Amino acid sequence: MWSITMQMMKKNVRMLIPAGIAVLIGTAFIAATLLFSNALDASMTETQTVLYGDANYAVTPAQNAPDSVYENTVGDFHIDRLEAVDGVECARPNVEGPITYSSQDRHASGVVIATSRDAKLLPVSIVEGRAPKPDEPDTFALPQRLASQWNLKVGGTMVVNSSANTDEAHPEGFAATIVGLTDDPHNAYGFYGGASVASDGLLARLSGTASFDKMSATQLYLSIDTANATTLGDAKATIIGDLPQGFRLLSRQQAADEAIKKMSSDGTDVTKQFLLAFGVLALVVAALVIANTFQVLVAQRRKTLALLRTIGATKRQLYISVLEEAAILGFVASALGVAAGIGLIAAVGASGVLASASMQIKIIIDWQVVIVPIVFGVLVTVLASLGAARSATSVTPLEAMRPLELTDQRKMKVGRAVIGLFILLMGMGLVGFSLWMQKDHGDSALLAAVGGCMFSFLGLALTAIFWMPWLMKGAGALVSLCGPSAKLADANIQKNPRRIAATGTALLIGVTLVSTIATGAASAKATMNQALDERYSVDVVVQGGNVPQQAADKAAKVKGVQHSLYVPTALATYETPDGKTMDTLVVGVPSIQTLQDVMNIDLGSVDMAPGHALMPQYDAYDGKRLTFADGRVALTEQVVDTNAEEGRMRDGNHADLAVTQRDFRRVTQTTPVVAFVNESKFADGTFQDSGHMLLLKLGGANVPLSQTFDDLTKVFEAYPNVQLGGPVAERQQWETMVNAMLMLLVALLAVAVIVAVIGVANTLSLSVIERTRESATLRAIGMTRGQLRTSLAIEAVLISVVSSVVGMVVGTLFGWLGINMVMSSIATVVYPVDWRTYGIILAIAIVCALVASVFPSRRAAKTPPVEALAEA
Amino acid sequence: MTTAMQAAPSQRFVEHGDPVAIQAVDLVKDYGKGDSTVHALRHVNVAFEKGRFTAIMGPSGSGKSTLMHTLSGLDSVTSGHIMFQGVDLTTLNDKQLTMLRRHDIGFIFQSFNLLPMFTAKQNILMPLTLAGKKPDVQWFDQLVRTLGLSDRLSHHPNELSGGQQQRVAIARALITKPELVFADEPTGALDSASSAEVLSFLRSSVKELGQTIVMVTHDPVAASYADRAIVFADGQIVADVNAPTAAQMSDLLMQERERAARGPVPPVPPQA
Ligand SMILES: Nc1ncnc2c1ncn2[C@@H]1O[C@H](COP(=O)(O)OP(=O)(O)O)[C@@H](O)[C@H]1O
Ligand SMILES: [Mg+2]
Repeated sequence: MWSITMQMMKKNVRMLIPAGIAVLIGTAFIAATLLFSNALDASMTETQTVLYGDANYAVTPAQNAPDSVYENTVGDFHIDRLEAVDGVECARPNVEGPITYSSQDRHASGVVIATSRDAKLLPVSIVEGRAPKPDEPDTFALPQRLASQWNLKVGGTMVVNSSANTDEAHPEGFAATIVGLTDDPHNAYGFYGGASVASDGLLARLSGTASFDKMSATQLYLSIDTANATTLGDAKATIIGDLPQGFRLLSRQQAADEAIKKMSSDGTDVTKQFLLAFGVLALVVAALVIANTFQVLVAQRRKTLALLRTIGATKRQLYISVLEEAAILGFVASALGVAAGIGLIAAVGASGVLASASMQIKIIIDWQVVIVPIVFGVLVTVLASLGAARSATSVTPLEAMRPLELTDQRKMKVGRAVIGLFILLMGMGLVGFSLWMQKDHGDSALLAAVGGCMFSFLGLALTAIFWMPWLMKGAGALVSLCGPSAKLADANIQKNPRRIAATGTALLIGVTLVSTIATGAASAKATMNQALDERYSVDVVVQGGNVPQQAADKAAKVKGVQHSLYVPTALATYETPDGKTMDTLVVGVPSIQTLQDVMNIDLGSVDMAPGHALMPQYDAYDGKRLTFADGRVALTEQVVDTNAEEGRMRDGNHADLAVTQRDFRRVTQTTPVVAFVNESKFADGTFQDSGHMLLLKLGGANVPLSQTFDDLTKVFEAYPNVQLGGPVAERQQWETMVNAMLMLLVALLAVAVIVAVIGVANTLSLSVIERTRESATLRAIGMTRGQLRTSLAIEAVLISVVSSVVGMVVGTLFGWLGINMVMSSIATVVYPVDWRTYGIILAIAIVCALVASVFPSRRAAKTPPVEALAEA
Repeated sequence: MTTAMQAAPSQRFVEHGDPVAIQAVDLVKDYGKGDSTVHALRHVNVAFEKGRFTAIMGPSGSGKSTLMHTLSGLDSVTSGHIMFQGVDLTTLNDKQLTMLRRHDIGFIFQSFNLLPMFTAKQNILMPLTLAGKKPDVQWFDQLVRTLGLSDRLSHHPNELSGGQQQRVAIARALITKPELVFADEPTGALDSASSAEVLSFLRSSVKELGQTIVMVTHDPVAASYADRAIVFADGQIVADVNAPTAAQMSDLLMQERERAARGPVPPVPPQA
């Protein structure tokens, strides 16, 4: 049987290629993820122990050490005693301090670390000269880069100082001798651009400590001779006996492992699992492609299989034969996938794209990298072929005698419909339940919502075979009016509902996930924007001192400033209905329109006539609602009392105004309340302007907000009292974050979508192979090559557009639900319809469909019509 | 080859004055290259007259299908010319040939080759659908009535018997009122009753509707429905008979088989 399996497989190897590619992509992704996380681990281990130099042991605080360990000093380690222990070569405490270098009016700052009796314990390397000796007076080795920039030589002297210097005799610093130059190959002090190494005395003086022994140190690195196990054991025992309270001795490997474990639990492992989930997703989609392929294979081989049955093959043998074939395909594709994954990571490492993240990609191949993807790949392939294997067993020996009929006329299973519908309803029920629960039990509601979405989607996928062809029938009926090619495409889709449903489902998974995430992100953005609009009513507020007109004019002209409003301000107080005195900033605006221009919220219609004031609804400090008796406020101006001591205020003029309240916030931080009044109140002297403020609205121009903000900062640099503030920076940070997340997720999901597109191509090529005779007949009776190609393109587009539209609708609903769950407690949820993203998804779906139809349609068009006449 | 046989076609040609529907001139078709070359057609010269029903007979592998494929522009030729409607088909490109097949040449296949996803009616109208043309309702009705398909129009091919399927295929071939219809063993997959039905219809469409039909067949009885029969052997015409009878054709085929058993055919005799 095995040889028959191989023979049949060989004959159909072309048909297996797309399914193989689908598996390959999924497994390559998994292999790459595992490799990536290995590399991440390795790179972290390295960072963890980079300070060790060549030390093989370290003394560090124990896990549950008392706080006293942080008061430990270098002296407490008794380095002399430790170094005297038999087998201990040398030790270095991990001590560092600040340093500033000065040479001929040039200054630079950096970090300086403790030296060691043996330079091999240094985390930096000495590239010229030597390392300073611990007990030397004022010698040091400085970073080579600085030395070459400033043209400093070994043997020279230089003044070094630090912000921590407390030596009253040498406030200008210390003249120190340069004994060597350092380099930092392991990037241990990359943040500082390398490190200097100083003799003990110099380091202590630079750190403002009385002596080196008094410097605080919680880590000590040791080089212990490991050649002789007994001396090593003795040495370790002696050291442990001599350690200060709360410290322990760890080997370098132990320390690294521990650090990794700690980090994994709060980082890499989550990342790894997150990434692996996408790999598994891609394989699930691949499973649909595989299932399609094997169904067609079995259908095509019905005659051969029937023949085998007549000559004595058992059902079981046929069943096993299909599974064997699947296993071979899965194994070959997964093995190639692993190779591709390794290649991919190697390419990423070689290209150095991650160098900016100071991460080196090391290829570390452990058994998991090879075995896990292969096991997954084979398992998925075999599972996906089970259905086809089962239908192979249903081939009766009689079929060998009958003419071949390839169309899939099997009855759709009622059981599947019932189960699918049940799951779908259960999912929708859960979703409804989660919405109902949401108010009181946020967390469990979220769980119910996630479960509900999953069940709903599973139900949709299971019942796809019923509703998808039905939808496509509708869409097909529309397009089939467009001409013969479309009519043919429609008829072909209708012919094979099962296969079309599987293909569509593969796409549906991808598109649904993409739209869920896109909607979630858009919704989160919109919701946050609205919340930010409410919380920060003005983009940029310039305040403090007296903002000069001249600077205000300049600011208004900065690129990216859409509107600006330069207004006089005064301080005032008023009495609340419950008798408290409130401080308020009075701002004179020319008209409601000019104010609206710089405000992010819609003020609606507000009377800004001289007798009116516009005030916020909430106290900016304590968030309490502001109330006014009879809707009026009596403002009392506060002016500087020139007769009293500095800073004292006295009452000025009074103004009794009608109040309109709107929900704007954070116009100013200096007073809890702001009152916008007509500027004529300043002109007529009711209020004297004690200052000016500038309100800005950004946008319009095509420059990044960050640049606008930078430009504005420059404009006001010259005025020390002026403060530039506003939510723009915060908002931008938020947007950048959401966008980056979105991009990343969509990029990861792209793997699944690519597999799904391969699925479309696969279905089409299988159909084309199957329809060779039909295509040839059509060509014989007058169909042009172009018409045939168009027909296949329309078929692909129909499948992908219908699946994508359903995916987008479902995804949007899921996205809304998710955002409703997460955000409704924080803000009023906004349900945006992101037409642009939908347009892009649809365009991609169409383009992919067209691309997917290229090869199959080329093949179909090449079919010579003579084949229609050739008898099978 | 007898003189009578050689004279026959030209004689009839002159006698009736029938214009030629399609003509092959010195047609050669080789498959493969080098030693393994198969000479499917060896310098064939033949003309088919308009308004006649011609049968092509011959042993399996003699080149009947090849002749039909080349004549209809489905397959290329190695050398020679095919004159149809005053044009040499060997000079046309794929698009022009497709248009020719769409409008002027009809096909009837041994295994019907109906499109399973369309109904009988849609299948019949397919050539017009492809051309984006409206059907001539009267012609359609006439065809359907004559072929006895009136109550089968909404059925799919798998709901029709072989004979019915072939009649649908015939209607499809005739719906465009083609200048010429090729039929490759149209009764090959049918029982004798259905065969007779199909053949009678083919003959009556020639007699009553003025169609021109060229039919490849194995069956001497089928050939007897034709006005003229050509016998093929090893890529050449070896006999050309007017008003063939079944017995006559059986004899001729038998002779051919015996000759084939004796040895290869002698070199190509010059055609008249
Ligand atoms: N596509 C092809 N490739 C190679 N040889 C072919 C091909 N088609 C037909 N032949 C050969 O050409 C000869 C004539 O075939 P054909 O015209 O089909 O014969 P018939 O229809 O009379 O049975 C045969 O020897 C056949 O093997
Ligand atoms: Mg033949």
